[in-house]
Amino acid sequence: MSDFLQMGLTGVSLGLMYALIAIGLTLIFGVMRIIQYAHGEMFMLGAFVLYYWHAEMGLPYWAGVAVSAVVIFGLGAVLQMVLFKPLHGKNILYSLAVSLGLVLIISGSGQLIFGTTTKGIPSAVSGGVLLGGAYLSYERMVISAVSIALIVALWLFLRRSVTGLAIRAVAEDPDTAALQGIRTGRIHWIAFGLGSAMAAIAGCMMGTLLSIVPTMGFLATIKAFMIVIMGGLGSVVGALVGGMILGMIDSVVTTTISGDIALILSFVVIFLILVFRPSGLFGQNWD
Amino acid sequence: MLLEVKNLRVHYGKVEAVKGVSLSLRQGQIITLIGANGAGKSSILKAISGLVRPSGGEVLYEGRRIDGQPPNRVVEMGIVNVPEGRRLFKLMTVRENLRLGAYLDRDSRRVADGIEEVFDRFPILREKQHQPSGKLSGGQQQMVAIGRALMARPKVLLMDEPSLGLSPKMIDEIAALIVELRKAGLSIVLVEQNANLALHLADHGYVLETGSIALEGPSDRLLSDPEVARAYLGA
Ligand SMILES: Nc1ncnc2c1ncn2[C@@H]1O[C@H](COP(=O)(O)OP(=O)(O)OP(=O)(O)O)[C@@H](O)[C@H]1O
Ligand SMILES: [Mg+2]
Repeated sequence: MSDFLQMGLTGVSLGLMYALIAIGLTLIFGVMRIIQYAHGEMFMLGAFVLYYWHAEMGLPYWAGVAVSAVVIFGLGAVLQMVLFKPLHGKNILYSLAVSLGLVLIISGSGQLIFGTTTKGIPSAVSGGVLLGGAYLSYERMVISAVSIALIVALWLFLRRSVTGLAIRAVAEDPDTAALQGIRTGRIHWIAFGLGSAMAAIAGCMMGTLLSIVPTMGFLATIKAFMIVIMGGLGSVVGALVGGMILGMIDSVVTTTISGDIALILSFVVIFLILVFRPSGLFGQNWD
Repeated sequence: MLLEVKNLRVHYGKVEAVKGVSLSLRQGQIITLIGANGAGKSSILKAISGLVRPSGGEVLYEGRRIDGQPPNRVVEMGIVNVPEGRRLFKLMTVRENLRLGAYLDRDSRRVADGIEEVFDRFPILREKQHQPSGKLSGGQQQMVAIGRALMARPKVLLMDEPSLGLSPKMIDEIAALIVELRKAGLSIVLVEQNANLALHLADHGYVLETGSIALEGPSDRLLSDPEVARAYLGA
């Protein structure tokens, strides 16, 4: 019983972090139809911003999370304007090559600048509670709550705000969006920045719960893609559900059997989902 | 002249879709462009809207050049496009579609009033306002498309084949609406394959053939033209 509670909470917090990364990726894909391989690098850089802010400079933790989000939003927006905008409307292979190049450049220079040793971000919340023999740390609970709050906030933003409606309109039909007076170029950098910031915040949380290295972006990108494919490209709800599925598998199977089996099982689950729903759980058919 | 197109050219790669077309629209007028599939009708409207960049010629609005302006500037000036095939945001609700029509309007009060005005004009849309627009019937979707365009409070409406795929009853309703919109002061460029309908609504017509204007004149004269009757009126 206690083991299940423990695994459950770990799975939920892990799943929510995966979901944050994947929602960012799916937002960028949905609006721009590009595959952003360097998304995991935004996740990694976000964690390092918080590391330097909080662990090195001793500045307040939550302010650091906000700073990380803002910095990576800016980085994403600039990358979009400088690198991806000129390639818009061209063959998707160009933007693919650029984002792959970014992976190498960012993770390579990360190793030079940040060093290759594993680092940790001290947490802002300590203590925990024993519940039915399981130890539930407050840190994990706070981080899960913050993830949920962020996902809900993004969802409301996309449903309620005019800019959110414009983002969805551009994702669905860019030409018709332009005919409503929407400047699609502006929506592109906003979506790219927002998606990157989501990854950065997930990086902050992962760095607090586990540890950080400059090469951690790679696995994050792979997980994000697995989730997005499972949930359906471009679907925020799909990314949330997919993230939770992957988080639970990772937590439960890693604890009870092994990490390798968890990875294999994840792929089996994705395979089965795609057999029955080729465009993912909540996917539309993108042409 | 409210809107003037002079010697407009549109290329897609090497293909020339519009080969030097000139049109003019006076305040309060309806003009129509008729022609077969692929004649270049939509391309002309897209060029006016700034969705495609003309490779030659000029577009003048209230005497000022607007060709090369981005679509958001053209909408801001009061020229709004109701695209072919309605092109609703199908995953979004009827209300959200209407809201997006007024995207550039910073006055939330006026936007709310605008939505009510659309609902007064098309009461069925009030009932369906929270449904995904893709679930509506063809006629209702056309109402949303026109309502969405009206949300921008346009001076000029560019309508691309509004009768396409609609039932005869629905076509009558759309025709009545176009007459009403003109009475309300709108100027309209109507693109149609249904030449009979279009020429009965418009003051002036242009017959487009493979990117060039083959014939133009007052609608009644085109309606009685034997060439037009044979090629476009199915007589
Ligand atoms: N995006 C595009 N790329 C390449 N060619 C295009 C594009 N859009 C239109 N064309 C071509 O330009 C020509 C004119 O097309 P356009 O859509 O303007 O015609 P239309 O008169 O509106 O036809 P329809 O009645 O079928 O809507 C056609 O030959 C078409 O194939
Ligand atoms: Mg057309």
